[in-house]
Amino acid sequence: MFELFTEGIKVSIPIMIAAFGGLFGELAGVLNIALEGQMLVSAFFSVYLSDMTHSLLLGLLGGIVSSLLLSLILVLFSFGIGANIFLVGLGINLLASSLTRLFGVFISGEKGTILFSHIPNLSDIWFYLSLVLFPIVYIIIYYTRFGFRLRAVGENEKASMFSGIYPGTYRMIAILLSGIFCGISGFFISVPLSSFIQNMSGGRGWLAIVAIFLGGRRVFGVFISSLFIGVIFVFSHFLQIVSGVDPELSMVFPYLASLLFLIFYRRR
Amino acid sequence: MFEFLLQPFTNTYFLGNLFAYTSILILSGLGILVAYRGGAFNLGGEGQIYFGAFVATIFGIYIFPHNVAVISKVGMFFVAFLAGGLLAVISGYLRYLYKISEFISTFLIGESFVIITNVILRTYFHDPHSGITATFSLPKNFLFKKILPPSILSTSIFISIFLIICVAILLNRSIFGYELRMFGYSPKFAFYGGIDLKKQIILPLFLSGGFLGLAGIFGILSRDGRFVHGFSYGLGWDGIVVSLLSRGNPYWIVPSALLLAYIKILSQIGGIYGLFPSEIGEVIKAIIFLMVTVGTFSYLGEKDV
Repeated sequence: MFELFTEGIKVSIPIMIAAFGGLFGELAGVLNIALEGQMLVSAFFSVYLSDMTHSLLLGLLGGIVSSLLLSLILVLFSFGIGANIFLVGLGINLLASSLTRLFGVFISGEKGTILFSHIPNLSDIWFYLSLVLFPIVYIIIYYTRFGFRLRAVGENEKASMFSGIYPGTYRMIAILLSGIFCGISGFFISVPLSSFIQNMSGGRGWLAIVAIFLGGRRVFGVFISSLFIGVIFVFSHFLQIVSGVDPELSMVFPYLASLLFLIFYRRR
Repeated sequence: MFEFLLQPFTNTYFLGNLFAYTSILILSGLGILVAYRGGAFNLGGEGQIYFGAFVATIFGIYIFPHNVAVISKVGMFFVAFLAGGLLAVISGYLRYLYKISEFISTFLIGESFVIITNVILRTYFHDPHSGITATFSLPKNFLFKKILPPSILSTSIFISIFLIICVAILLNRSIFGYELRMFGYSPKFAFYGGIDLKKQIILPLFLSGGFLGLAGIFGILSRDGRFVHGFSYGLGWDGIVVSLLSRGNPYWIVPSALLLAYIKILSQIGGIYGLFPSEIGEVIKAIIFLMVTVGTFSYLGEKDV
């Protein structure tokens, strides 16, 4: 039972980091639904670069840069050109899934799972280190000028505009921040397995959005709710093995859970 | 290089497949377009196509009579339309009751129904003697008649084109279409003009899901003759690109669908001859998707009255 719990924490860490990233956007009033694609791209590049350079740090950096590039595209299209941010986000998810598949074919010539053999062992310390992000995000959002203004933009667009805070800037920064955070979270998806599987983010970007709403858009709430989701996720896998239901059924969980929480969130 | 680009037109097999894909893409694009003109956006096409086709195939195999092909076929179209439409209507209700943007809800419901359909297929309706995950075959007389035999081009293309004309007339020349477009342009104006909000939110989505379900069953009846796991891969997204490219004009669906089908066939040819991995086609489509988002729908996601 205890292993189930520690496993749950490990599963919840990528969700938590991505949720922190998405939280910046949600607080500024833009829901970034490209989290999924950003995670996926970073998952690919971080595992590939860790393999090439034999360095986890460089892999992490590569993942962050790749994810940041995607969020830059998102910013460019939605704020620069004025396209609908949901549509652009979905387009980016599509782009991420097709690009990683193409690169996978280029690298290995295979279409399914790509195994990497030269990756340094990822010790548990990395997982605990990632928990440091929680106080960092907490301080940024609640105790810095940037955090105050970010929340002001989300709270009342007009009021912040009249007091000289341009909402677009803060939203753009929020989206770019979510790119950085998704880059870190993608690292924790693929590197522990030292392999890349097609669409391996598997709806975890959507679970991150669930965590944001479930946590009531507060940093501590997001922290707790993503831990909760991780444990539930592992537990549902466990139940599935015991009961012998079709393994694909657990993949519904992120999507249906997001929908239900959207409904409950709006009803309040 | 030039020869390669012309390949889809010089080879009858590829030419036939090009038009066959076009006919399915037309339906899928029409589905998204109806929702778009009605001020809604349907991103759950994948799920509606998949689920609609699945339910209709199951009805065709187990419930409808196998000897009277015409009645069963019409019945299957009807079932597919209804199944796809009902999936979209859920999102319509969510928007009407809780003001949840159909952008997200259609996508989430669609994705989950793709998975649910797969699970149902594997647990209950799987043909154990087949090497792939698929249902039993439909009777041969249910399938569309093939026009260019080695390819999968069938009579369904005429139905698709007929449906385009129907939708164009419905949208541009009828009271229903006027109300639908008016709500699409400005929900507030339509509301103060005395239009039933509930109807205008839900009906376009129902029609949209219906056309997508129809696209699914057309895909099955013109190719495999049974429901194969993952048969619709990406068709819903292609439909979105088609309808965005057409900028809301039903007649422009045809060239846009042709373009997408052309990209698809080209990437297939490249894959077959080993010129480049066929995955490039997907990347190009994703890039086109990003490009056509510019300038469209920037007003969508506005609050309803």
